[in-house]
Amino acid sequence: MPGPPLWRQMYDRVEGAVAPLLEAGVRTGMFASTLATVTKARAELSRRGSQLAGDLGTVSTRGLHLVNLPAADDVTRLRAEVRDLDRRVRDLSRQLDQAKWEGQADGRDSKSAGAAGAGPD
Amino acid sequence: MAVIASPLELLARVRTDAGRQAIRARNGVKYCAGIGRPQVGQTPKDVVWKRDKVELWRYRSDRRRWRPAVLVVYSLICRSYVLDLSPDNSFVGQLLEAGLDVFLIDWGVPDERDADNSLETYVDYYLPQAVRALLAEAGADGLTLLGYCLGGDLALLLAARHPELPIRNLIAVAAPVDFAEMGMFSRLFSDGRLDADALIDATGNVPPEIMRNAFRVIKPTGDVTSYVMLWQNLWSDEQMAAYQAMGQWTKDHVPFPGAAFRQLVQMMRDNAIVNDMVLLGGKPVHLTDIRCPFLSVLAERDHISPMTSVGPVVDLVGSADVEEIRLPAGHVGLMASRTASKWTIPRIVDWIDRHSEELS
Repeated sequence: MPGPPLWRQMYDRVEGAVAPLLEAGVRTGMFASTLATVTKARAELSRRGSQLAGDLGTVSTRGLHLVNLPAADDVTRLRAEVRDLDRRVRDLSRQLDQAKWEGQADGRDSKSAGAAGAGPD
Repeated sequence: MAVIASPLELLARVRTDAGRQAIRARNGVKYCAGIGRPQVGQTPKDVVWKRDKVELWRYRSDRRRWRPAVLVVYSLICRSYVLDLSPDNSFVGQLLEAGLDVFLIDWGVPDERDADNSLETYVDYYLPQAVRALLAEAGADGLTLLGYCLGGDLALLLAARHPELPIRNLIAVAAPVDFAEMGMFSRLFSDGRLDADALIDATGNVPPEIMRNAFRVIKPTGDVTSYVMLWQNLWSDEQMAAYQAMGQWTKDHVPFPGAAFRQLVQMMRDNAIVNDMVLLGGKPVHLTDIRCPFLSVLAERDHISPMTSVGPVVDLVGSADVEEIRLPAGHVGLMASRTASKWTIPRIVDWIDRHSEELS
C-alpha cells in the first residue's frame, strides 16, 4: 500500500515538531491563568449584556402588554415554572421507582426467607 | 537511468488523476454544502427502558453466545454514537459479532430541565434503574459493566457504591482518576483558577461549545490537521464518509448538567478519587469496595485522559483479578478507529470471554 503523499509527509514532520511545544504550552499555569481571566471576563460581559437586555426589555414588555401580547419576560417566567413542575414530577417518579424496587426486593427477600424456613414436618 | 513511462501508462495516470480531481471537486462541494452526510449509529437496537431523556438500548442480535450481558456506559459530554459510527467502525458491532448481548445507556441531550442532575442522579438513580431493567430484559442475574471516559468514572462509582447490584465484571476505558494529571483541566480547576459557575449558562448547564473549545485548545494543531486530512481524503468516497462521520461527532457535544459539573470540579480540586475522598449522597465511596474482576484500558497517546491520570486505577480497586491493557492510540482512536478494530476491541472481547460463560 503506498504511503502518504510527499506534501502530507512534510506536514506531518512540521506538525510533529510544533505540536508538542504548543501542547506543552497549554498545560502551563500561565496559559491557564490567561484562559481563566478571559473566561471570567466573557462571563461578566455576558451577564451585563443580559442585564442590559433585561432593562431594555422592560420598555418593550410594556408595549407588548398594551396590545395583549406576551413578552420575553412572560415566556421566561413560564419556562421557569415548567422547569419547576418537571423537576417535581421527576422527583416523584424517582421516589415511585425506588419504592417499587424496594417493594419488589422485600418481596424477593420474603420469598427466600419463606423457602428457607419451609422444611419437612 | 530514469524509467520513462510509456504513452499508454502516462495516459492511464492522467485519466486516474483527472478522475480523482473530479471526485475531489464533487466531494468538496458536498462537504461545503453540508449534504450527503453519512448516517451514524445505525446498528439496529430497541429502547428497552426510558426515564426523562435517558434511554437503555439493547442491540439486536441472533448471535448471542455469551453471558452475562454487557452494559456500556458512555460519557456525559459527547454523543454515544461514536461507539457505532459506521458498519465498519463500530465498537458495538464488534461486540455483537463476538456473540455478546450488548446494551448501552444513552444520556440524551440535556436541557435546562436536566440542570439539577447531580452525580447522584446518575449513580444512584439512572444507572441502578437501567441495570435492573437490563436484568429483567435479558433474563439475567448479572452483567459486565463497561464505562468509557467519564462513563468509566460513573461505572467505577456505581460498582463501589452499589455492591447490591450484580456487577460480575467491570471495565474502565480511558477513565481518568488522578485529576492532578489532566493537564490544562487540572491547571484551571484543580489549582482553583476557575470556578464551575463561570462556565454555567442561564440554562444551568455548561454549553456544548465550551467543552468543544476546551478539547480544541488542548490539541492546538487538531483543527489544521483535520483540514489536512480532509484535503487528503477528498478523492475517496469511503474515506470521506469516515472523515465526515468522525467530524460530525467531534462537533456534536451536548450540554453538561450544571449540578454534576460543579461536583466534578470539586472532585478535581480534592483529587477525590485518588485521595479516597469521594462523597455521594453524603456517604463516602471507596473504590476498594470493588471486588469483581476488573480491566483497565488506556491509550498511550491520550491527550484527554493521559496515561498518568488513568493508570492509578488498577491500584485503587479492591479486586483480586485486575488486568491492564495499554494501547498505542489516542483517546477516541482507542474505541473508534482501525487501531480499535484491530487491537483494542479484540482484547476487550477476549477479556470479557474469559470472564463470561457460554450460553448452553
